[in-house]
Amino acid sequence: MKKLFWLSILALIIASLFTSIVLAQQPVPTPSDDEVNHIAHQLYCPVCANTPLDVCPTDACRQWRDLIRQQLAQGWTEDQIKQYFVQQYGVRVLAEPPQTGFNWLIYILPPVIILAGAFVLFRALRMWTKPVPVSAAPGSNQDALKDEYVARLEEELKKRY
Amino acid sequence: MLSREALFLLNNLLFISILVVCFWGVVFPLVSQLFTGQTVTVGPPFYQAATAPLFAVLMLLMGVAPLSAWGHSSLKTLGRAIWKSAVAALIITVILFFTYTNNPIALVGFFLVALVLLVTLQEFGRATFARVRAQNENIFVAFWRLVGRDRRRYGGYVIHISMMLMAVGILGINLFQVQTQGTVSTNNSLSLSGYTVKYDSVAQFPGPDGQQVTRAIVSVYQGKNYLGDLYPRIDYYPTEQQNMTIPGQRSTLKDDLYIILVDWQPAAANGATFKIFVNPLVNWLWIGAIIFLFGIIIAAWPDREVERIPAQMRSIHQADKQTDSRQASAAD
Amino acid sequence: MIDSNPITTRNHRGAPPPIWAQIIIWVALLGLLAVVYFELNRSQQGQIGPGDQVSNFSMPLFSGYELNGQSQIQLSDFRGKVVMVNFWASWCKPCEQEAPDLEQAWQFYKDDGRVVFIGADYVDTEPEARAYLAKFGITFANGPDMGTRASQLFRIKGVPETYFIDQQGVLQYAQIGPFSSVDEIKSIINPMLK
Repeated sequence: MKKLFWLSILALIIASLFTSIVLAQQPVPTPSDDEVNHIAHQLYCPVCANTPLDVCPTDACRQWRDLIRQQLAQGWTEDQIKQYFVQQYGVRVLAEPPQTGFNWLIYILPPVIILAGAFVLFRALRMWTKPVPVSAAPGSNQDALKDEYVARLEEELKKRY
Repeated sequence: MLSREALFLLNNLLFISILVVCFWGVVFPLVSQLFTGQTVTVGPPFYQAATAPLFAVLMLLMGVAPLSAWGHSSLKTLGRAIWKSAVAALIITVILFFTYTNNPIALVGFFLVALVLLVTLQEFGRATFARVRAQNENIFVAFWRLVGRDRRRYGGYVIHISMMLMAVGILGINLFQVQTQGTVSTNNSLSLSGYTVKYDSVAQFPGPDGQQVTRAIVSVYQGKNYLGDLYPRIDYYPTEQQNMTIPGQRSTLKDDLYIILVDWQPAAANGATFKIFVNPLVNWLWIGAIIFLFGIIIAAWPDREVERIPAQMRSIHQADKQTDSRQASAAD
Repeated sequence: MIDSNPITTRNHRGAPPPIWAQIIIWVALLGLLAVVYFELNRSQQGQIGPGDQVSNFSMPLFSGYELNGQSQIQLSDFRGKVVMVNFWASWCKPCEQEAPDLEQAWQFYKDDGRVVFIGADYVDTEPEARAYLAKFGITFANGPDMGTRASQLFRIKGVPETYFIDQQGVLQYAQIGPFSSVDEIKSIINPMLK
């Protein structure tokens, strides 16, 4: 499941790389709002934290969008534009931290914790299922369990009263 | 390994994992700021990529778990119980692939939705028909009594169904939402997925709360059909120096249409900028939510019959009563 | 079967996790709590206030707005001078209100030699910033603070904010919001020159 997911992500990344290369070849004389928003959607202006640039109503963000429009008109690629903003304003403009240095922690830690949890669960389940013999006939198994239950119940009751 | 207890624990693990992912995403900017001095943004792509597989497994569990037995279930018993539903869900997915979408994530999602719905309905159906045959009841009576007999279980199934409908809505928002933005002059229009939005006029007037209202009137067409007018507006609050954008909205079972007035400058009165969203499938989210409430009511409606007290507790009660009466007699 | 479950599971439960694992988990949790505490504390702090030593920082300057021909400045270069750091942005309407006053004040002090004015352009786009500087005829040193390094140092909450640092590098006054007149600016700087 997970592998399939990552494979599809990889495929998406490759596909988007190709499309951006193809799109980048021709400078757009008058970039449409949609083209601007497509890039703006992936950027975050520090003035309104956590609001994507394409929907942020402040003047600061409007200026950023105008800048993207100018850069598109000059034939810049999506990656170039993003790089420009990162260089100017820092990595906080990106929707996700780049996968470098300390930032690896954000990508590594959740899978590690989840896998650790899965391991603990797996171990617990194995210990849990081992003592129950499954080979016995279904009827007698049921009876055995019931008897065990009654016996335990009696035992607990005796302990208390 | 596949008993219902095991699946419950796996279910808990998945919920905790989603919690871990979200918590870490929220806390990481703080950690990063403290250790590197660098501010980072953790936005939707992180949460989507990290939680989508977890939610997918959760959905799969919703499909499998009702078929599993307490104590022990094997791959074989589960497979025997699920294969019909799985094949049917696969056929539905293939049909959707040819008629609706070829987005792989959407197809995986729709497959899981179909699987869970089919399994759940099959559970309802099998039990109902068993009653019809055994008790010789009318099908509706059988269904009613079935649910009444174990409301926790069947309320839970209703909640599963509601979850799947909500999942359809969420898939729709994330994968099939389309939007466009453009600046148009009066009597010109923008088009998006079958809708045509014509810009008629704009007016500015003071609002009731001291705000300055800029309200546009647009007429919405589907093909040639006139559907009605919408009034997207921007309210400007001078004291706070803040804008509030109120979209024009049209909701149908098929999809939602939102129109936002992005910009209108009195100086350049020749045009206004609109942003238009079409959200297909989003209403399944609301339908699912209503069914969810319904499921909770079924499951949590207080019982009229006497609560079944576990044996252990009952004996405590009796013991208490005995000591009480003894004390009472001693007092006499 | 169902009822028996809680009791039968009890005797199959595995051993508790090893002590080192428990320690790691608790230390990690406490560490996270500490991080959250420190950061919340920091964000509650507000701007730096009078009497605080301003730590050294460096900043690039826009071409055309250099200081004595230098395109990169350091706060420590100005020991012995009064430094005014003004945070502004071209998208900020109240900044426009004070811009002419700031320039007028600079004209008053620039030949004195004991005062340095620095404009820090907070999260802005360069073309608009240049248009703004030209529009108000600004001549004092100005540079971009796009990465918000300087603004984070002063922990500014918005623009405009103006900070006055004395000859020893100690903050003397913080103006939150725009100035309303040239005299207001002078009344802050003059006592610092004595």
